[in-house]
Amino acid sequence: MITINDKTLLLLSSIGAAAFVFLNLIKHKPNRILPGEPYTSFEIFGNIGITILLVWGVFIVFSFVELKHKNKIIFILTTGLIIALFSLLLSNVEALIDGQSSARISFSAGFYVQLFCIYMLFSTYTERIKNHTYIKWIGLLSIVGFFYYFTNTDAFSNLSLVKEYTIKKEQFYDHLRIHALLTFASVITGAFIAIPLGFLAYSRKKLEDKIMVPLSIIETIPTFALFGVLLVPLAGLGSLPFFEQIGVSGIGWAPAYVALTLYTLLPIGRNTLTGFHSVNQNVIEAATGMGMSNRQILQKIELPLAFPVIFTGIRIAFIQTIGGAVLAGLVGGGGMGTFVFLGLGEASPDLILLGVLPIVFFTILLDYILRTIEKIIGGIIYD
Amino acid sequence: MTVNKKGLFVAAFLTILLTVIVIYSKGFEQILYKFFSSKSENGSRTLLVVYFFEHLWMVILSSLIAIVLGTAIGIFITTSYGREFKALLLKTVNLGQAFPSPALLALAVPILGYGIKGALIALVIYILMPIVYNVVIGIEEVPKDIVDAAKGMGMSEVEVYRKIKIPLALNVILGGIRTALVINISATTLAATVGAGGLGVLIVNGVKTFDMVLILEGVIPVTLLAIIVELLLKALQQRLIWNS
Amino acid sequence: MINIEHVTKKYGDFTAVNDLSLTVESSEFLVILGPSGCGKSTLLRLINKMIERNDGVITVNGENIDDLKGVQLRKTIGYVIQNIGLFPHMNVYKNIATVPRLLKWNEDTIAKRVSDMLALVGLEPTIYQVKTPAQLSGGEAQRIGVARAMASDPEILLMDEPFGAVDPINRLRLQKEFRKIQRKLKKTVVFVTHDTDEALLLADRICIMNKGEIVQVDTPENIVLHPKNDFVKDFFKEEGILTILSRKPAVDYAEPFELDENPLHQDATMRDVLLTMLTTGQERVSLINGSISWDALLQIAGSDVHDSE
Repeated sequence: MITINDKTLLLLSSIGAAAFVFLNLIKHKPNRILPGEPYTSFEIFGNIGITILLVWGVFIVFSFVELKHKNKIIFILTTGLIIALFSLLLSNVEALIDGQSSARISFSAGFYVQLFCIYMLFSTYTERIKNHTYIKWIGLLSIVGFFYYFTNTDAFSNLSLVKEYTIKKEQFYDHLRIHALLTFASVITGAFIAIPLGFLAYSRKKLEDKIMVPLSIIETIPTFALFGVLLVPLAGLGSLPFFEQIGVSGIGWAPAYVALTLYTLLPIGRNTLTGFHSVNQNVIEAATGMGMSNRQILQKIELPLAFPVIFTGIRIAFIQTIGGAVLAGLVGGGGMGTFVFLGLGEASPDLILLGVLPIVFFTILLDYILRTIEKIIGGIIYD
Repeated sequence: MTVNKKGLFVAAFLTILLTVIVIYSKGFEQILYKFFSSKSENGSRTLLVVYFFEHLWMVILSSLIAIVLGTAIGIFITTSYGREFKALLLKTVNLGQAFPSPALLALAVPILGYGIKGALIALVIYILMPIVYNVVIGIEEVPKDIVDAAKGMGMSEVEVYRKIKIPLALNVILGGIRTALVINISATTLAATVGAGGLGVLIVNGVKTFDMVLILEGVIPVTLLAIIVELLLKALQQRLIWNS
Repeated sequence: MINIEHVTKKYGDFTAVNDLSLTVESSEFLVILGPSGCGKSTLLRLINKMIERNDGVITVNGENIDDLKGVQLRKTIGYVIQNIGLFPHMNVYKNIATVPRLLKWNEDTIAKRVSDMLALVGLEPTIYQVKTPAQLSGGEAQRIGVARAMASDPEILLMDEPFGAVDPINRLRLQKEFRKIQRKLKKTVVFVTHDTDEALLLADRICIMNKGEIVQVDTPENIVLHPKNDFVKDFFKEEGILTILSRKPAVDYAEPFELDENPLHQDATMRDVLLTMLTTGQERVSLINGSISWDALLQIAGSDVHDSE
């Protein structure tokens, strides 16, 4: 009987192989507007491309057998697969483009599915070879080095995504700045409102429901509905001289800022409440018994012990707001959403991607940074 | 218990309100016109009820697919056959969280085409992960002793799931479904931007033409719907807490 | 009757049970005693196929357990674990009715059975069958656990430190009651514990295990008085004899020899007799129905405690 040794590997490599065989790899468009012509992996990669299929095949075989250095071999092969996929693709689309400056290449499902599988394999096996730091670093560095080298040549320039970027370079950074500004401003404003609210709900038991229920109702309101409903009151506010001067109006940054701030209230407020509740009553009693005043207990005991939980709320609010800020693009507030909705209007997936990819990147990055800070804070308080 | 009843009471009231608004959508429109000036011509648009049922239908269909699929995947991952996929699930959940819902809808369109089909698939993908995640967590949180006792009494694997694991995980599973449904109602509003219709159409057009009547016509039913679903599922969930 | 022959269970490189053979007689109360990690729970779980063994043969009532499906086998064997594992979403009635329902008994029989079982463990059926596990105290929950395990009237009960999570006072009461129930119903019981007092109080025979192997199987008296090696000796820390004496009511051993002094109280045990002798220097201690001599005490310490019951 055949026993499956590594189900994760089998699943991912089967999907990868199927994507290679059955799905289109790229679309070749003669120019921006015309619909593209799809190409499969076989058509693009030619005979050398069989090696990629072969690697997928080897992975499938590996998932049935037990090998001594299997994890290391798979990690190395995955690293190779990433490099091979990109370099084969880039070198072969050159011929397809054939010097036409208006022609462009955009990726299709086959590419994304294979990339997803490779990413999952790479991160899975990076974890499995925990003890072999040097192999891990060689793998990572070779990928980074590869991309660095190719960005410096103009190999990527035929890609539609890169072309969209080149055309909209200045706007891109403007909107990135607006997006970041919106996110940070909303979360910081939200924290200034929600932390006191959460504390109030904790210290006055009677107010708990009166504060938390409205916050959770706000969270339930569909995001886009809240953006829309703020339009008129803000337009009214914008007709007053002071607000007009600072640029408040029914469309633009104002409804986005207000709506996003409102949405941060629940995660931060709820975590503040939970944070204070999670402080052990015995500790507070001990502190009272030691003669600390209420103020001292709050400053020295409750706040430090509740802070890590509050900070988690802030992190959740950040992650939620980065994504939510996309909708600012729909009410003229700018940000990466501008590209997303422009792309939708023009039926240009690569323009959408230009808006989405930075969001995904910064979400992952910010999540990582905030989690690290969370750990450091935890360490400071508890050591 | 009191919170439970209060929630149900509010939900019932809001449901009646929503029903009235949907049935007498013309009258509802007239009331809005009294308070807000509108540029659009009275009565020249598609009725609210059409958009409402488009919206509801999209939510129900995508939720049903996601609940069935998500529960099945979640249960599979908790079995001895699927345990190895848990790490993969968590990675996918983490990655998926980095994609905002409008982005996911926007990306699904070029692959799956404009209109309802693309929107539905994107919605299913988007709400699938919270459902799967909660099914897995819920079942894994069932105390080992209880499962052990059930097995020791001669329950088969299927019986253990049917009589013990799923009933005990139901609270957490419903929590996932509640989150998924509320997200879904919200995300479906954006389906208008990919040409799939729904109440979002009214909001999009309202924002474009700066027309408060249109906006509120979309916002009020969709918000009521979200709050009703939230309250109902929360009440249902509270009935399923065993240890209090 | 359970017959275990040359059974081995390995977890990777770790051998939890090593080539172990043991026979449990019908109606016998066998206690498996050993330090944590000695393989005693593993051995128990091998009997009802909660885990599969690597080697050896196990028969239950003459039938090889490999010929039975695990699910079928377990329906005929009661199983009680330390944290009881009552189902929190079912009331007491449904908990106790679980196995009878799996066996598709008719509901009238089940109802009768449930109230019998509750009465057996000393809980008022009408009050307790509608309670949920969350409303029970630790001791009550443990009784329900025992009632549930016996609901389908299994011939064999497997118990894994069933009283481990109960407070000491309730534990002693539960132990005594359970011993009585076992005697009355003549169940075959395999009982795992690391508590020496519990083992001495309950067991017909004690099986001492260490590192996956049996060190000694014998009656409590023989194990205490004739330990096979230092491991067994150390396990009881010489106090085993005292424990045995403390389980014996002094009145049961009285000799018809009245002494002219204050007798010990009625509930006095043989341990109290010994203490009195040691503190007063007397060779004979007065009881309400006679007296006991030093020589008699020595003899009792070495005889079979179970004759008295």
